[in-house]
Amino acid sequence: MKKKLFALVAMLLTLCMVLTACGGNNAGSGNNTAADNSGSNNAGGTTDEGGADTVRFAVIFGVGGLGDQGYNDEVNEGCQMAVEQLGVEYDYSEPTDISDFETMLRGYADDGIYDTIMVISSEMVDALTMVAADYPDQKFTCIDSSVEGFDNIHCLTASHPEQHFLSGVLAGLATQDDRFALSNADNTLGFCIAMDTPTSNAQAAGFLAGAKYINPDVEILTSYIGGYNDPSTAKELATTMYERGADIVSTNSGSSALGVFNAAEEQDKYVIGTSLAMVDGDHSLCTSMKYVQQMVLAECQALLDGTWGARTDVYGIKDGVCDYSLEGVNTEIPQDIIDQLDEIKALISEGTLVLPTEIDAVDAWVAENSPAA
Amino acid sequence: MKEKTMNIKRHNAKQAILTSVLAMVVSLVLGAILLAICGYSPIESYIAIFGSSLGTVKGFALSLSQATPLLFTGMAFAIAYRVRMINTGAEGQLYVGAMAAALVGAYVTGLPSVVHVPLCLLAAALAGGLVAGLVAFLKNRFGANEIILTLMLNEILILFTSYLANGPLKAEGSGVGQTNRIQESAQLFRLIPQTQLTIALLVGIALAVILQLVLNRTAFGYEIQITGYNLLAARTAGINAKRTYLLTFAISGAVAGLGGAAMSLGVNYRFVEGFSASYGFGGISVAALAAYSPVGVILSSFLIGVLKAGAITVNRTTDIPVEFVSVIQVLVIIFVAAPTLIRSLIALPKKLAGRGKQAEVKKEGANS
Amino acid sequence: MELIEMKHITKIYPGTVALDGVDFSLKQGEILSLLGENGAGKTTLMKVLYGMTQPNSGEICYKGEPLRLRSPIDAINKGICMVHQHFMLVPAFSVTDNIVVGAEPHKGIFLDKAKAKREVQELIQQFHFNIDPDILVERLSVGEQQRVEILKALYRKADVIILDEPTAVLTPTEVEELFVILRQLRDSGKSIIIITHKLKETMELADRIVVLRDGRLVADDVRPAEVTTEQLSSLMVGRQVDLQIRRPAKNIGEVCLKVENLTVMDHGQAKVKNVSLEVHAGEILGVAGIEGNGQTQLLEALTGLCQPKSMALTLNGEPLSGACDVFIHHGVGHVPEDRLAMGLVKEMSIKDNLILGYHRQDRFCGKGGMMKQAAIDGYAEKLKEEFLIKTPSVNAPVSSLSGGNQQKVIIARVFSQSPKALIVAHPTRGVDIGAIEYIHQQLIDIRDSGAAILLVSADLDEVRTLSDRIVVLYEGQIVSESMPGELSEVELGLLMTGSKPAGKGETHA
Repeated sequence: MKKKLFALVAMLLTLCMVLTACGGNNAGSGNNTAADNSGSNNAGGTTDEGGADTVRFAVIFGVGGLGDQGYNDEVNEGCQMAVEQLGVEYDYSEPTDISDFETMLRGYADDGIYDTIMVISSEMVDALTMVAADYPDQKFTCIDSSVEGFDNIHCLTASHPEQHFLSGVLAGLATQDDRFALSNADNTLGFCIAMDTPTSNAQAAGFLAGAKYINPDVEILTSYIGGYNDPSTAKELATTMYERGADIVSTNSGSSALGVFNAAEEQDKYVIGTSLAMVDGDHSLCTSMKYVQQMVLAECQALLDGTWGARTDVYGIKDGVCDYSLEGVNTEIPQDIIDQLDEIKALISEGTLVLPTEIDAVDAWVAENSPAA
Repeated sequence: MKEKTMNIKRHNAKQAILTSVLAMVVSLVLGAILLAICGYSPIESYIAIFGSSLGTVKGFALSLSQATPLLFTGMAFAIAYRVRMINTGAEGQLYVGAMAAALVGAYVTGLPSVVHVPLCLLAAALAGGLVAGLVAFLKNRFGANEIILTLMLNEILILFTSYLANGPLKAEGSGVGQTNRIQESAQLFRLIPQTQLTIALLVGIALAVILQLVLNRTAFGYEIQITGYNLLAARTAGINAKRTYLLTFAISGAVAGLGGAAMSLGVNYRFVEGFSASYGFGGISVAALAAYSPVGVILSSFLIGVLKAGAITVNRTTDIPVEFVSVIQVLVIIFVAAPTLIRSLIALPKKLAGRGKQAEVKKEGANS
Repeated sequence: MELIEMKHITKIYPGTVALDGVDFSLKQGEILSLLGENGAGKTTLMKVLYGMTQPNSGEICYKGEPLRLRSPIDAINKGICMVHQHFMLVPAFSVTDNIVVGAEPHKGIFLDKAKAKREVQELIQQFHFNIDPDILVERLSVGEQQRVEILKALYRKADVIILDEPTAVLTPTEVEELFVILRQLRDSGKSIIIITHKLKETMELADRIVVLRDGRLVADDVRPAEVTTEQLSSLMVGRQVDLQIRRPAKNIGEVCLKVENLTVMDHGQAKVKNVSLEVHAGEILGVAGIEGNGQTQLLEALTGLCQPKSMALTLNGEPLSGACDVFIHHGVGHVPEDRLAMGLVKEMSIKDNLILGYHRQDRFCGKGGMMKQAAIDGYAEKLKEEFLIKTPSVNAPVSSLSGGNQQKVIIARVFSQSPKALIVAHPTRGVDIGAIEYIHQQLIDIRDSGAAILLVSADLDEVRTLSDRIVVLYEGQIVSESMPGELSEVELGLLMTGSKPAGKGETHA
């Protein structure tokens, strides 16, 4: 009996492996073709294709790999933009587990032909610090995370508050505006915070500041989900917020956000997320964007201009990295609101408005800066 | 009915090696055909896969370091299989082992490396062993099925360690679920600098040899084999089968736990949630490839390690989809898992020749 | 008419020639008995006929057509069925399921359970097989399982049925019933080959006898009416054998093994009811009875394999209880009833099997738990010589041995430990005449050296020949105790089936 059961389990496992291999296979080849079309060279070791002055970099994607229609694909989009606009070249690797990060970093560093080697998430920071110490002459780029104390790592991060500020403004206006069909009479919004970390809090602070900047009396409900991978808790929290009168709930919480979107659909209210892939045409009000593409582009520009340096650069609305997006949204946003948003965008780009990074600091900041207050 | 003269052990080993090698060859040929169909040059691809992973020091080290976790989980499955228990729980045991090692490595301070590393390993072995021991206890006491238990327990343990890494034990200021970095004194010595090849490999090889000796040379190993082959005969001979189950399964869990420690102490330098690329389940095929011999697992895990290292190199340097390497890996396993298929393939040329001869004979018969 | 002709069949296994140019033929509508010692090539010849193994040379003709058998499936399709000595049944399935499996009646894509049940029921009635078609096979005794195997072949409406030791596990009544069936089948035109060691049955049943010895054909047209059993056994063995000589015990000593109030429950039923018995040193106590009357449970209780509901057991006056290791440790040797399932680990070597159960002894196992390989090798070689185990090497797997030699491995293992008491079950089931003779001699020798022996056997002749005292077990109780010769075979047989012979024998409640 046991033998049979075992044979069955073994067969199922093998089948799973075959299936995943096949599935992955399609995605993999598809993306490689895309890279080929864009003229990127991914057939390793051949240094002599571009001139000596061509910038050439390597990028290591996250474990999810290409074809995730999310972060990894966005980074790749940035790389291809750099190829088209700046004429750089790049190679890439898709690790299958986290122990591959170090190996791949070392592999590229050993090749010694790259102007920089790019890692794109905080998962890779451990591996990066280990390898960077061993290759002092190799430049490294760390996107979306910050590493201190190395003179061969350039970090590029997005401003957390700025990512959410503009959608906060839009929400603050929409909740009191009859032209938005799903808005209710309550002057209430909601924000589901992923975790009680400085990063998440700063994101929430941006949203709060935006909403109160334009609508100082708005009440904003906040709760902590407790994780980036907990849609069911997120859904519960969001549902409570909607039931307490919020007509728009925003979040930046990875796949937990799915729960918020689910709640919005059930309650037929507005939702603001951070991923274009998640946009729900009928319920999304906008998307709080962090254009990682622009960071990749900026890094390539820095290499070309010779302004590359071992420091941490924070990118925001001014650089086109942070913005709100209406892509895929069915709700018509009135032109006067868009104009208002553009004005505020300009204020921030000029440096007139400097956003708070802590939730506690929001009210004081609003009192000081808001024209409506 | 008549006596066969061949020594069984040697015969079995020979058979197993032959089958594995043939499985390898057949799957490489099939892989080549697949590659060719998809428009890649099979020869270039194989050079990319094997050239670096076997031909360069760093590549070879990569092969070995990729093999290391599988060496442990493969041994874990193999040893449990000798009492015909199916340890599908190596994944969970790997996680608790990794967590235990990472905690002892991070929070116990002020020890010299020679004490600290063994202490971490001990913690990992204990954690894995206890978890597996619990399963064997439940099997003995309530007749629970260990496959279902371990599979369920995998979920629980992976989620629990993930909770710890995201919650109470999360490293300060970290964006991902991981524990604090381990002390320098707990880090495994790297055999070749700037590679992930650590003494964990040597520990694993030593362990494989020890387990093989235990199986073949000790009374306990004898009892393991008897119990595995024929439970009723073991009971009739006064062997305490429950005790054998408990001990063997606990050993199996401890070995898997050590595999987790190898990752925590040698590669990631902390516990990171989701660190395992299914090493626990990979161990099943590694053990099957080795015909459930601990020493054989050294070879089979190396083989898979070479393929995995090849996959990383292919990924970095060519535009061949990495998944081709996985496909070859899966083909090897399928062919090993189906020895009859391989044997009939071996017999095929003979059969064809035989048929040809028969046809000739018939023709001659018709002519005369 | 010759139904099957096998010409010049030669089969060579590594190291041995199992069949050496054997010619064999089978006529339609005859019962043919294939005789020979184990290792003579009977089983190999039948395996060739059944497609289980390919001959190195020679050809097979079936109804005049040359036949190529690549696997048993080919043979079954041609109407050649085999009933194996070791059953091939699924314990968790019902009798009906086991019988129809592989030849299930269908209704569309579904199994026609009703039809299957009806057909099996008819079959059971037609041949007077006393079996419940719905019971799970795991609940059946060895004897009943054998009947299911025979039914399975009958269900496939085979033209040729090969039976390997069909009567080894049947009671005398069941044997008679089986013979009736086999004769019926023959009269309806089927051909039957039986492989057996029991000359008496061969003489009674067979139309023709074929004798093999050492892979060669010795005689192929022996008519039972024209020979005596003595002549047959000398044809097989090449010398004179007599199994019927009694060698009574000379010096019976004190009570060695004393059992009181033994009750064993199994699936809520009392299988052994309040049995008490004593075995003296230097004595063989024979337990006669039809399979399924509590023998298995009695054996399990007396060897520690099961914990009885109640039992007071003393060995030389000392109370004894616990699991098998306690019994083995205190010198109760056990020759189990099913040698392959309980006594041996067939995947392992002869050497390893020779120390099974005794492997923790200081002479085989050092302080650190390391096995002393050299000591074990020497010990195994010694036993191989001493107990005449026929094998080229003690490193060969035990499965490579013939049944008789396998049994010798168990006998050697247990007897060489100078046990105080011995629990022996069916010591000669399915082994050849030469081995039977040898094993009987060993039993007598160890008895004479002072061991107390409890012998359980389905073979009444064996019990009568070897025992110094005979008890009859019926429905879990001892219904009779007698001295050898006191009761006739017929009287014992009646007691075994629950009826009391008039006025004879002392009966216990």
